[in-house]
Amino acid sequence: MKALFFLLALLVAGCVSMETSSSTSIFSVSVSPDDLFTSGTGKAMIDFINTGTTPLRNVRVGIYDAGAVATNDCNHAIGDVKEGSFASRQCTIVAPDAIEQGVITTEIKARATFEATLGGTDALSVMSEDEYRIEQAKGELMSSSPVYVHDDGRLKATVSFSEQMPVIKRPDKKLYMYVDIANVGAGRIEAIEAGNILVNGAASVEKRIDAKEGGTKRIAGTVNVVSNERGYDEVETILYRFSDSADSSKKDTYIATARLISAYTVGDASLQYMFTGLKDETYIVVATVKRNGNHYDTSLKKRDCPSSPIDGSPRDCVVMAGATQDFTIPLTGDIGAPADECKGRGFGSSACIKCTDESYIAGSDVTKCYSYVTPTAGSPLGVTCPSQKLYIQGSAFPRVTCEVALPANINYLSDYTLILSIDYPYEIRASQTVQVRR
Amino acid sequence: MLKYGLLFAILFASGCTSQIDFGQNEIQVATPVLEEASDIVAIKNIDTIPNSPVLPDDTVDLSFIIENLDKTESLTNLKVDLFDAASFKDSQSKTLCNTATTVAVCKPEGQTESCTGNKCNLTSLAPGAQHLVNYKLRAPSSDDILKLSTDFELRFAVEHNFMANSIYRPVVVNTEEIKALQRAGQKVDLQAASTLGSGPIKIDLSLVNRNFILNKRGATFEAVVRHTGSGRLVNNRIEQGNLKITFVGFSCDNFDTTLGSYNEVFTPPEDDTIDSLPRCIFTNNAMREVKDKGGVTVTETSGAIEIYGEGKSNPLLFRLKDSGNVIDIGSSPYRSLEVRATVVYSYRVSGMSQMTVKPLDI
Repeated sequence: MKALFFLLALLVAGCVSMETSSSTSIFSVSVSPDDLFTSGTGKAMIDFINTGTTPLRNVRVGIYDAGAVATNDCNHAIGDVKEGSFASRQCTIVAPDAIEQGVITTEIKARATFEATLGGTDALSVMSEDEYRIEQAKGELMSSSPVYVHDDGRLKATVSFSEQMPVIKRPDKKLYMYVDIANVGAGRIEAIEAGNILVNGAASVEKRIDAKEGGTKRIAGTVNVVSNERGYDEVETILYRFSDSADSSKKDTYIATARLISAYTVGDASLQYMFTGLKDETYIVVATVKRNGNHYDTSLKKRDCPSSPIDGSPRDCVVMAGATQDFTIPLTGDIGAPADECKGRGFGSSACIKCTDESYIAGSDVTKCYSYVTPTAGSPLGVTCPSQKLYIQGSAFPRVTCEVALPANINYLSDYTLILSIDYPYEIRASQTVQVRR
Repeated sequence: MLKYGLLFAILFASGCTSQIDFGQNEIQVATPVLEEASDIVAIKNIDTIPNSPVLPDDTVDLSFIIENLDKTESLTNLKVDLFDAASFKDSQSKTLCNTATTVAVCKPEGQTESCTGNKCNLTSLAPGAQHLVNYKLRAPSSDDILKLSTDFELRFAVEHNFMANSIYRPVVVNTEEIKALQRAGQKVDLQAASTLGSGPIKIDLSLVNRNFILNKRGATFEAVVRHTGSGRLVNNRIEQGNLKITFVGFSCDNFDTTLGSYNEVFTPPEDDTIDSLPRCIFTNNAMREVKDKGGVTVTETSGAIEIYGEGKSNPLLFRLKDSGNVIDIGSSPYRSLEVRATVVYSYRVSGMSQMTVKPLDI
């Protein structure tokens, strides 16, 4: 019996929570006092908190059904609510002059509407036909069918592809990207307007580079970027031939660069690189993380790179051909050049709001904001998605299929980044009961 | 009487006992057939907002999803046709959808492609892709339905073009190989496999009466167009010029083209060579001469292939010559050749939404 009661309580609680909040934007209405005398007045507080990681735009809150009590036009346009921020609005409620019973209970219903963007980046590996033959002959070809899931607590976008990865570039083969979108939040969405689902292909990256040193050895490893909510748009490993000289005038010789990311990214990344065709000699591998062409002060620890060259940074590792060299790069410092209008200003300060509208780094510990250009211009990947208004069908939208046109020239194994962006409207509701007594 | 009865019994018995052809004891040919999926278009999530029953004169969204179920081919020349919207109207103009003749009255929301009547073109649908079709309609008014609760069926269809592919690999066997096997008392197992591509139209290719071709001897191929889908082949036929049958490894000289069916359906076959391999291509492009009402001789097309009641075309026969310029594999014991068939067709899949229009009880 006790268990049944507990279950019932859970069930009731579950129903309430579905009505009152979604996981990334908490919305509530509270009334003070919550029992009114006839003709008495009270305050309805409408609270909206953005607990997600992206800003919410054009937020509007209001009471759409006050039940037995009266309220003057209780609709408020809040504007944008940044991640981690909140907004509260207040409305006056007036109890009726007369009620037929001693006490009545009525419900005040409120709603919040806003616009949000679900974004994410998906990796796309493409291999030339020649490289495919080589890898296949070696028995080193690893194929997979990746499925990327982007979920902001309201919408969930599941991205998959028509081909296995790596995609073998063939002249007569088309590649399709499938985006399945579902409403997983507690709120409502009716439709996504035409043109609001965008996929941009970012510049290519090559993680396997033939250094053409005339040998058969390789140096490979992983670069682990610990984002700490900081954004970056370039990760690369650079290979030098080690001069092994105390004479600083004898420079190490640059050989090759492996670009591992070339699209704006926030979040941890684990990126593999490989330099092949090396002689049985000593080399230097440098791992860098950049934003707008500026190096992050990555504060690398010595332990990440046990053998650094003389006068080199800890991220410059002396490595014997054939060895593995991993890097772990936590982004704890600032990048070199903040935007002029934001230099020296605190995060969220009014002067910085302008630049933060389109460019800022999330996170409460960030003290500066930086401008950046979303690196989609000149993308070598052509991605064509249908532009159609999509109505929700139950809890999911019809699948969106985008055609991905691969570049003509693919050397070895190249990685591309597909940037998905879905702008959508959303509505969440909340309610509160009020007692009115004579 | 008994004598005649005995003779009849002997004749009957001999007829029942099939006689094998030369070499069929030694050469055993399996004919596995791999047939891919039949239905490649699905109409799903047929829905109306508001759900039935709807109020008179209320706006109604009729929506459904067209899905390309094929994994490799796009659906081209895709059209959607609200061909019977009963008494429903366009939500804006309040014109009856069914009055459309050449200009569309009711077309999908956001339609940018051209329409003829209510039949509207859509962009091609990629493999695995879905397309949402949404019509903004208006329910008939109370007066239209005499204030009676009335049931309606809104019917629509999706048309598309598709290409059916079939490959059959017949085997040519050398008579010397058969004799060698007979001497050795051995048998050989071979395969003459067929693959029938996806789509509701299939092309069956086979040899008639036997399962391999004897080198330097005649044989007859049979092609049958078969309908396996749940929709309808537009006009119930394969249109003129849309069927191609290619015999790879054969020259057109190998075929006896004096049979009547060639002249009725196919133009004279054309030789081609790809990768030093000859091939002979038949296309259903035939024309025939007929006299019109005035007695004047005119030409008309005759290559269209009708699909009959059982969902099959008449067999199309291709006979390899039994003498003269026949196929020759030299001293090879056996060799696989290839027959390819492609047919381009238009297909129509229908859907329907039932709806009740009911005045509000007051």
